[in-house]
Amino acid sequence: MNALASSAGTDPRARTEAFLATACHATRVTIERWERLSGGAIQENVALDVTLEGGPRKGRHEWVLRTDAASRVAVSHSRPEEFEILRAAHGAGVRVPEPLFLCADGKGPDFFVMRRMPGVAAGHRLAKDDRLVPDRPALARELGENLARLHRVRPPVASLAFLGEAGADHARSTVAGYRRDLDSLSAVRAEAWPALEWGLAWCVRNAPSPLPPCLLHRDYRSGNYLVHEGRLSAVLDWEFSGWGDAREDLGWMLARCWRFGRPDREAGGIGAAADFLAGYAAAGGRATGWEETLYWQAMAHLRWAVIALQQAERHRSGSERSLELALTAHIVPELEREIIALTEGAS
Amino acid sequence: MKVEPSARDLLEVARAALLDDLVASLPESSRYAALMVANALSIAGRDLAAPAAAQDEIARIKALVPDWKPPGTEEAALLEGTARLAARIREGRFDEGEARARLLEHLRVTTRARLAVSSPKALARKQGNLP
Repeated sequence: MNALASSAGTDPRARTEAFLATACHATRVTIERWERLSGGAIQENVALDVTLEGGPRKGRHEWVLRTDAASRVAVSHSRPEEFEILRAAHGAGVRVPEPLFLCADGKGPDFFVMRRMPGVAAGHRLAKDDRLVPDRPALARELGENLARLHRVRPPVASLAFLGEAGADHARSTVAGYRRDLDSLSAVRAEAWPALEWGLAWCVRNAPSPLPPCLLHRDYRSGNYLVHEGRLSAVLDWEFSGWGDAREDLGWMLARCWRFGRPDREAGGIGAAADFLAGYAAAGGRATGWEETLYWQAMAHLRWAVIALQQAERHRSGSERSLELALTAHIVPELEREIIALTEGAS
Repeated sequence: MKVEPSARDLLEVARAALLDDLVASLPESSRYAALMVANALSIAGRDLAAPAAAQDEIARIKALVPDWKPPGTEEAALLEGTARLAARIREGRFDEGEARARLLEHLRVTTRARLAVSSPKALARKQGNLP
């Protein structure tokens, strides 16, 4: 069943056409293409080719409709929330698909419509195929510049009130959150993870002085942005964003676990850390050296390990039997090894 | 006596059949799923072949948590010992000095054994993260 259909059985395409007619003040709306795009397990994306008659937007448009898939993850934002985050990012000059219309009419699942952007997202392709990224230093720089623009968004922002208060000490409160996550997992499967506990204890002892909070993407890595003709086209997947320490996003992008088979290119398998960090500083981001990011790289591996264990638990518990989720558990030892490598030298 | 070929050999030959004969004839959209199946078969085979290391691991944990009395069965001891150790690490009992060094050595050995099953390629890779 299509996730957009309401319980009353409204045709999702007809519902969307009616909604767009009102939103665009159009006399007639025709959706010529309605094609489900491969997307996450959490959200569903539909490519729309739309022709509008009448109104200020009359003409043909290439858009994407984004809605909830059948299985929602509790920690991710709702579609109206994600729409507001996209608006804030777009307003700050971050390259994102421009958010256009939000539908939360209660007649079916919420959805929003955004501009469709061209490009390739697959991390392993971008890391390995130089034809897709002819100028790697330039793209690494752009990724840094773009992130700096996002980090200029500071709390409070009225439209982002649902994000809650920004914590005073992001590193320590994040560690506390991961410990609670591990405790929840231990409670149901009687397992424990000494290497992860070591990493978390190390992160408490070595926590840096907090920076003033800003808006984080919290999944800013290869695989979650589009590259078109070698340039950054749009950053996707904003469902985890929130207030925090800017360096968390830097560490996530630089962490070895997101280099897609090119560990020599520290910035997402795309290019050099130096280019990424230089772009970040050039666009107004805080000047940050490689050494300073190592703490947040350790945090990145811890975060991915916790998420991987949660995904594997969805399989193990029987709530969502899946080969992909089951295999995710086997990524954890690699993350543990990286955590040990990053922490064994320093206190 | 059990029938040969045994589980390990069957997993190996099933994986070879998948990769050598079947994958090429699959549509592109099924390729990723097929590679995941091959990976799962590899992990299962290595898991079966892994040397029995539970007794060693229990002994190492016992050395790190001396007041712990392991329960009777191996499986229960491993679960309980690992949980005790994790809790002590969180309490900060291995933050410095000799305790820290002994813990790190235990974590290295344990993680190597886990990697040997889950991801031996990563085990072979040069460690370290500096650019």
